[in-house]
Order: sequence, then structure tokens, then C-alpha cells
Amino acid sequence: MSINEFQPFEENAFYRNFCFDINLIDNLGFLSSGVGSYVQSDIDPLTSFLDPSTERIGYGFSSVLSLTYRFNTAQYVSHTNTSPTASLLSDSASQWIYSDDDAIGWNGFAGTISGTNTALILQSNVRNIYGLKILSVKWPSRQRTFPTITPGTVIEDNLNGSYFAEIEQPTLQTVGYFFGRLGIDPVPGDPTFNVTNSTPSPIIIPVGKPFSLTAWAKKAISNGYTNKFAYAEQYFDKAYKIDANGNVTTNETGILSPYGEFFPTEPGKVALVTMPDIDNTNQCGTGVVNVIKLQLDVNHDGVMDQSFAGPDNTSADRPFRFWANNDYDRLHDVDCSFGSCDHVEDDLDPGTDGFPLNSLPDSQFTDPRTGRPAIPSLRDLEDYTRLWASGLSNVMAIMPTNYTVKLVLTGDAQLRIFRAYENDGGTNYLFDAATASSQVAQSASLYLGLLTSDSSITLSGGTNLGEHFIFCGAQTGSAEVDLQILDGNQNFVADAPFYIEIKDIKQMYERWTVGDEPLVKPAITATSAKEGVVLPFQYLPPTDNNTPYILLVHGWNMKKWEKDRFAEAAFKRLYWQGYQGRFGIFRWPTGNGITDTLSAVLHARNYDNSEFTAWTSATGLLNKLTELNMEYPGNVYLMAHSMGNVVAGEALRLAGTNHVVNTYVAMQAAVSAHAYDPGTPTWTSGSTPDIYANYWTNGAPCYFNGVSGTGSRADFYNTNDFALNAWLTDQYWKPDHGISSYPGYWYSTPGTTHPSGFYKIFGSGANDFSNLYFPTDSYVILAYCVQSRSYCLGATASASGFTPQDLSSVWPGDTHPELHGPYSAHFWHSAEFRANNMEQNAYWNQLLQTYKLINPQ
Amino acid sequence: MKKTMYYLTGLAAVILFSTVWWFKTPTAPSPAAMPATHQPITSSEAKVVISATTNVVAKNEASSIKKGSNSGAATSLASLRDAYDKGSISKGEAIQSSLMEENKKTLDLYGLVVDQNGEPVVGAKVRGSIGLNVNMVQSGGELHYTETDSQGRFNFLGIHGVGIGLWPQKEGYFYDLKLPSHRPDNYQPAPNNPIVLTMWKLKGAESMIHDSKFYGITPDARPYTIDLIERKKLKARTPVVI
Repeated sequence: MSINEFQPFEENAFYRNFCFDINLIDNLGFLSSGVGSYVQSDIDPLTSFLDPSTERIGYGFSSVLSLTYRFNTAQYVSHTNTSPTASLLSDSASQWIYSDDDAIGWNGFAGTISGTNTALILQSNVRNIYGLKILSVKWPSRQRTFPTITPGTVIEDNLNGSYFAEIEQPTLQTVGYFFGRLGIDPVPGDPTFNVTNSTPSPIIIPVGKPFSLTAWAKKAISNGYTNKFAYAEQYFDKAYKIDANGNVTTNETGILSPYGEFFPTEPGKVALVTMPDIDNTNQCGTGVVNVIKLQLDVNHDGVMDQSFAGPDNTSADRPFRFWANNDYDRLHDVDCSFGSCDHVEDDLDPGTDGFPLNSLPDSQFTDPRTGRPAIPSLRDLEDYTRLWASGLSNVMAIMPTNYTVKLVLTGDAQLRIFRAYENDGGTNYLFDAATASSQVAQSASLYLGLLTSDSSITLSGGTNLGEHFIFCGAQTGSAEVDLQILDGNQNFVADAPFYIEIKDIKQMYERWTVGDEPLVKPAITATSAKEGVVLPFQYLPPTDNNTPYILLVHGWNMKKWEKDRFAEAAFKRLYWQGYQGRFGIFRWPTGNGITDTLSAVLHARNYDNSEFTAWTSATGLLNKLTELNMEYPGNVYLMAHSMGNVVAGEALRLAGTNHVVNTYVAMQAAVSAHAYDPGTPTWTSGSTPDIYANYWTNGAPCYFNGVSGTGSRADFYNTNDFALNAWLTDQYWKPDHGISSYPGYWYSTPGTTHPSGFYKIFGSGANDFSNLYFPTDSYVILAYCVQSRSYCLGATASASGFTPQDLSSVWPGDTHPELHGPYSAHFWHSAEFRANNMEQNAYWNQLLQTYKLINPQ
Repeated sequence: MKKTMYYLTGLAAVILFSTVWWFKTPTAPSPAAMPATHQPITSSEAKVVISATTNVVAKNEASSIKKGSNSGAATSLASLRDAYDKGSISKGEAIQSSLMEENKKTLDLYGLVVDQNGEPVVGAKVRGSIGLNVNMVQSGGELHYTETDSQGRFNFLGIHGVGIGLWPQKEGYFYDLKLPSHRPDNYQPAPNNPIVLTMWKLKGAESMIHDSKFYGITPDARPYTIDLIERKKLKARTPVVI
């Protein structure tokens, strides 16, 4: 049913035809305005009168088109005249109204007088159906002069012609308002409407779905019958938000037309207020509707933008994309030694490091004590996103007990849903350790269910579950999730959907590799990693020239799966910082498998071998950076961790003057600080020349002197870093003499036998050596021979050319064992990828600030 | 083959050395090891208050150790170097031995826990978190606990490792772990030179009244005492401690 905003004008014009006007009386004494009682009297006058636009022939009038007074809508809307339409139903113009005596419910003429049938008397105190007195009547005299008679007056009987009654003006008093949903609820004028009807409650509508409400001022007739009411339909004025206390605020919401068409743009209780009633001291009516919405933080900016046109809406064509919670975030023992262990949350690999091979992923985790579904760790919370059933609490509080509220999923994705511990459904579960701990500790009792196409989740019928939830992807796929409210007969009252696509996280970021097999020469061109996916993921070309791309280069001693896990931790934690750009990892063939003392002692050269591989992986990285910079010009951001800074630094050196990177962040960089700044502190006099500081002759500039492959550089350093202290030890024992295996590397004072001083031996014979030369053998010399006189860049606070970032200022207080002061346990060397988002979010926030991709907090 | 034998012999020695060291806590202060990051320095301070400044000093001093000194660590380092250059031990063994040497450092310390008003915190549990080298890719640790006495004092004696962090805990008090809480490398252990840790007493807003007692006399000459912090009039006058 549609709204006809011209209805009042059309009806005004139509009813004007019923008013007495001597000029509109024909020869027979009937109205000539087009209405009369001689045409098709079998048609219900009420229905036909109320809908003149249908042009039906109705009781008392012949045709809309033949009416004297007719509001010509087409002419009105096409006319340029903006003057108000003239009044038609003034008191004087409508003093006498056509009144077939029984047609409108009065019967004022009584019988004959004095036994004759030639006269009628207008009785006194006759009232119409509303109880209003008949004050006078114009009647068709034989002369057709339509004299006025008052009660008690006798007139002739058996006269043709129309009668017009003057009815006492009603004294109306508004006693309430009735609101009805157009096309749903009976409204005044409908045969099924009764004056005892009250406004239906609750009225529930979803955001974004047009809705029409009608408003009626219910008016008692003070001078009429008490059981009769007049209903004056109202125009609407404004839609206001209602606050949590039920008070109507002054904040407008949605789009409301005067005719009751309402387009809700945000969830919550809304007051639809009628225009002031000029006939009744400007009184207004207020209809309350409850607007609901299933809300997500689609753009993960931490703000649930509940507006209709905001960025957090979904559609079938634009679903919310989130990753499946198919990893293994668990607290486990690390760095165990001599009977004690450190404890850290990590993303584990089943079958590795004592983690059982048959372990279930986090989305299937159950509390081992209770067997109930639960969240295994604080770290796992970074795999959960928020869901608000906004406005639902309002509805639940007032809806009939036989109503049902449930979440229904259509599609092949599956979601695991918990109630949010935070009452306001905030993001502290991601950033605040105390909140996160409560969310995890109480997760079994907060568990709502697994939402699948076969299993809905009922929210009504028990404890008030609130309207704030968190969920993770339990199975990849696409789905429409619908919040459905059903009445006692299981009929839809309202529903609100969202659309989602759950993906394997490896389908959400790019994995570039120049090889992952240790000691195998790295490729010069990176390709997409294929393991774990059917098709390697690559982004579509960016549509926005400002799309940023962050590339991570990992460090030493990483297995293939570990490289990905670090990348995925970075991806997720950047995501929760609100990072809107793209992300990838650059994998290179570092050595790995150094996990304990035995392997560390037996394979001590693993580190130097890997450093050599790192130097030689730089060409592949440069080529990838060059490609990325063509696709994301000026918006490529590089971050490298630990030994990955050898790869990154060398790639930027090889880039020469080509600006392939916007900003480079060295994260706990395991590379000599002297390679960038010979002025940084030294820790040893060394037994080899300071090649990093003077490459490669005395007085020459440092190795990375003049590197301009990046616009700016930052050094995320930790002076107490354990691994970077161990790096010093490795440096001290350079050159690696090769006691356990050839070749061995040595240095002696440059001379005829060894021109550069550096050489390698490959046998025990006196001539089983070959000299090493700069720059041909630079990578070999740097990896196996040269001691760094300086500390690592990642342990140095003041390397020239780098914006320093002291990591102790972004980390929480240290509760791990301390070797060289705070943050000196091994864990801290890779802490940003480990532990949980609550501990590490400041690190990632600082990273994005350094990139100038977010504003300082 | 010869090199392999050297290697295996050296490895066994390192592992044996490490194991024996670990299960037998050294009883005497051990020299700092190479490449020890930290080296005790002479301090004339009567009391060491842990602060960021102190740590910086310690770090700078530590750097000098890396350059070599006449300490016992250097002697040990020289021995290792000699063995390494002669081909007696591999780089892996040399690294491991170096790291183990660092674990020998004596970490004896005396401490004092006070609140923000300088009042001693009695009965605070103090965690001493000793950091240890395990190998090139693993750090380790030992947790030791003690409790402050009636004067807020505590100590850890006879302990060894690379370093130790301190964390006092007590119900009703907060200790900010971001405060320097590491035993400074230049610390000289002595009862009259305690490391001072400041906790924050959590009892509403910080009291503006630090003298908790008010002493008065009534018109009829009866002495009385008011506890200004507890806001209670005490039945009898409590003695004044001079």
C-alpha cells in the first residue's frame, strides 16, 4: 500500500461537493456538483467517498471527473504556481452538508403531523451517530429556495431534492494517539478498526528498509457520545533518537517524510513525532519504533559505524571478509632450561615442539576441564571480530514472551559465537589484558553456539544475552547471517542480515618467496608460495593510487610454516590497528632447525650460512620491491626483522638511487650498526678490520653509505635484546675457522700471500686455501669473516639516518627472566609476532605511526 | 677426521662443563665472562636507587668489557680464544662456552621496598627473576622469591646468572614494571647499599597527611589521640616515638 500525499487535498475538494451551494442545485432540487443519491445507491458510500481518486462511481456521486470540485493532482504538480491551494471547507462554506437523512446516521424527521402525510417535523434534540445535535436543515421547498428549518419546524413531505443538515460543531479533545503500520495494522476508517485498538508494540524494523507509519490523533467528542471518537490523521515532523533511559533526545535520526515514510539509518529506539496539532495547543504524538541491525566493524577501524551509508555495511556483493580461526594459538613452555621454562603464547604447529599432532584448531577448541567450547588463549582473541545485534535489547525487553529471536545462517561458512565480556561490546578484548583474560576465562559460559546452515542460534527464551557478541570463522565459505524475530505463530516480525565470507588467511595476503630450502641458492625473482592453498593468492591491481603495501622480511632460523605464522600475526595485528592497505611477506631460504643446545653447538655455522644467504637474497627482494613500487608507486613500506635486515639493507643498497621503498623499518635488526653509522658505540676492538665502518679500505665510507632506496628509515631497537647479544658472541668468534667442517675462514694481515687478508681454507695442506677479494667475495667475507666492532643496529639507540624507536617504551612491563635488564629474555627478540595483541598492539601502532599511515595517538 | 675428533671432544667438554656448572651452584663470585655484557664498576654511592640513569651507566660500562679487560673473564676468554685458534674447539663450542661463562656472574643483592611516601613496605613478596643463557637461540631463567622484613628489607645471596630482575608484590600495592627493576651491573652488594624499589600504595587517593597522629588534651585534662588517616579517635593516647 502506497501513500498518497495529495489525499487531504483530494478529499477536501471531494467533500466540498457535498456542501450546500444554491448555485449547485439543479431543477429537480438535487445537487449538481456530481454527488447525489440517485446514482448507484448500492455502493457503500464510505469506501467510495474515501477513495475518490479511483474514479469509481459511488453512492451519491456520478464520477470523479464530473465533480464540480476536484483536486487536479496532475495539474498541480506540473504547475509553476507555488501559492497555497485555496481553502474549501471553511465554516461558512460547509455549514450545511448534504445529508440523506439516514446515509450519515441521523434520522431527524419524524412521522406525520396531525394525522396527515403531507408534513414532516424536524424533531428536537436529534443527534447524529456521533451524538452531535442537528442544528438546522436546508430542505428542498417546492420553490427550490432551500429554506432553513430548525428543530420543531414542520416541512412538506414527499418532496424531491436534497437535504442539507447543519450539525453542531464537535468539541474535540485529543485523548491519545494511535499509530499503525501502513498495510499491516487496521487503522481508523478500516472496517476492522475499533476505537479500543491501541498502537501495536513493539514495532520492529531493520536499518535500511523503508517503512510507513500512520499517525492518528484520537479525539473525544465532548459534546457527543463518549464512546465515539474522531481520529484525525497526522503529519509527521521529525524522528528523534531515544536514549538508554527512554528519554526522547533532540538528536534526529533516519529520514522521515511528513506522510510517515521512515527510512531508518541507524539502530536504536526512535521517536517518530507528529507535527504540532494547531487545533489542539500544538500537541504532538510520538510513535516509537525499534530499529535493529546486525553490525560489524567491516573496516576494522575500531568504530562500529552504524549508519546506513557508512563503511561497516555489507551486502551480498560486498561481504565482510574475515579469516578462519584455523590456527593454534596456545600458551606453551618455551626456553626451557635446567628445570624451568618461560611461558609464551604462540601460534603452534601440530606435531612440532611437543604440540600433539592431532590437536584441533582454535575454532574447535574445548575446555579440557569441562569439555565445553572455549577460547584457548588471549592470543586467539585476535581471530575474533565483533558482532552487535544493535537495538535487540530494546526489543527483547518489551516483546511478547512467545516471540522468538534467532540467528540463522544461509551458506557454507560457519561461525563460532560467544557473548562479549564487555558490556558495551568494545574492543578491549583485543587491547586490554584484563578484559581479554576475563573473556577467555569465562569463554565456556559465554559460548553461544556454532552457527551453521543446519544450526541456528536462539537468543530469546532464557537469560538476557545482551546484544554484543564476538565470533570467529569456523569454516571457510560464504554466508548470509540473518537476525530473525518471529511472532508466536512463527511469522516474520522483522529481520536484519549481514553478509560474510570466511577465508583461509593465506588467501588474504601475498606470500612471495625466493626459496625456502636452506643452503639452496635463492632465486632472483620471487614467486607466489603455493603450499597450503589451491591457488596462490595475489591481490587484484589497486584501484586507489594511495593504497599502501607493507612487505615483511623475516629473520633467521625460521621454518616455512614459521615464516607464514609470523606474517599472519603481523597481518592480523596491523588489521586490528585499522590498517587499510595490503600486506605481503618476502620469504628467503634462511637456515633453520636450531632449537636446542645440541643443534646450536653442532650447527653453529647455520647462522653464518644464513647470513650469506641473506646477502644473496637481496637481489630477489629488490626485484620484488621494484615490481611492487610500480604497482603501488611511492606506497611500498618495508619492515624487516632480525637477520631479515641484511636482506632488506642490501636490497636497498642495490637499488642505488631508485626510491623503491617509502619507509623502511628495521625491527630488532641483526646487522652491524657500523654498516650504517661508524660513529655508533663499539663493543670490541676486533681481530679483523672494521669493514662495516670502512668498506673496504681504511678511510672509506661505511658499507651502507649513501643508500637511498628508501625515503626514510627507522630503527626499532632494544638495547637488551637477547638474540642481538648472542649475535655479538657470534661476531666475536669470527672468522669461522671451520673446525667442524671445511671451508674455514681466516684473516691475517694483508700481504702478498693474502692480499685482502681474508681467505678460506678447504683442506689441511699448506696450499689448500683461496683468497677472498672485495667486492667479488664481499658477501662471503661479511658473512663468515668480518667481526662487527659495533653492536647490532637493533640494539643501538642512535644510528645516523634512522629514526630511533626504543621498544622498551612501547612494550608492557617485563615479567620474563631478565639477563641484561628488562626485555632481555629470548622471547622479546620476536615479541611483536608472539604473545598476544594486548601486549604487542603498541608496537604495531608505533609501526604504522612511523609509516605515517595512522596519526599519532 | 682429526678435526672431527677435536670437535667431538670439545663438544663433550662444553656440554659436561655446562651441565656441571648448572647443577653445582658456584659458591664464590665468578669473574664476568666474555662476551659478558656487564661488568661491576666501582661505586661510591651509599645507596643505589635503580633508575634509568643507572642502567645507562651500566650499559656503557658493559661496553668496555667487550673491548677486553684484565678481568677473569678476559682470562677465560683468552683461553677459549687460544683453544679456538689452535683448532681445539669449534665455533659452536666457543660460542656455547662464552654464553655459559656469562651465567657465572654473582648476583648478590640487598634491597629495600618502600611506598610512595618512603615508608617501608613490610611483608612484600619479592620475585627475583634470574636470566640465563642456554644457547644461542634460547634464554633461560630461574625464579627466586623472598619477603621483606619489618623494615622493608630483603636480599638475594648466593645466586648467579647473567642478570636479575626484581618485582615486589603485595596486596594493596602496585609496582610499575616499567620502572627500572634490574640489578644494575655496577651494583656493589652491601646491606647498607640496598637497591630501592618503590611501590605505590593503593588506598584511595594519596594521603595528604603523612603524620598520622594528632595528640590533644580535653578540657578535663584527659589526653587523646586522633588517627588522622583512619579518622578515628583512639581510646588512649598512644606513645610518641621520638
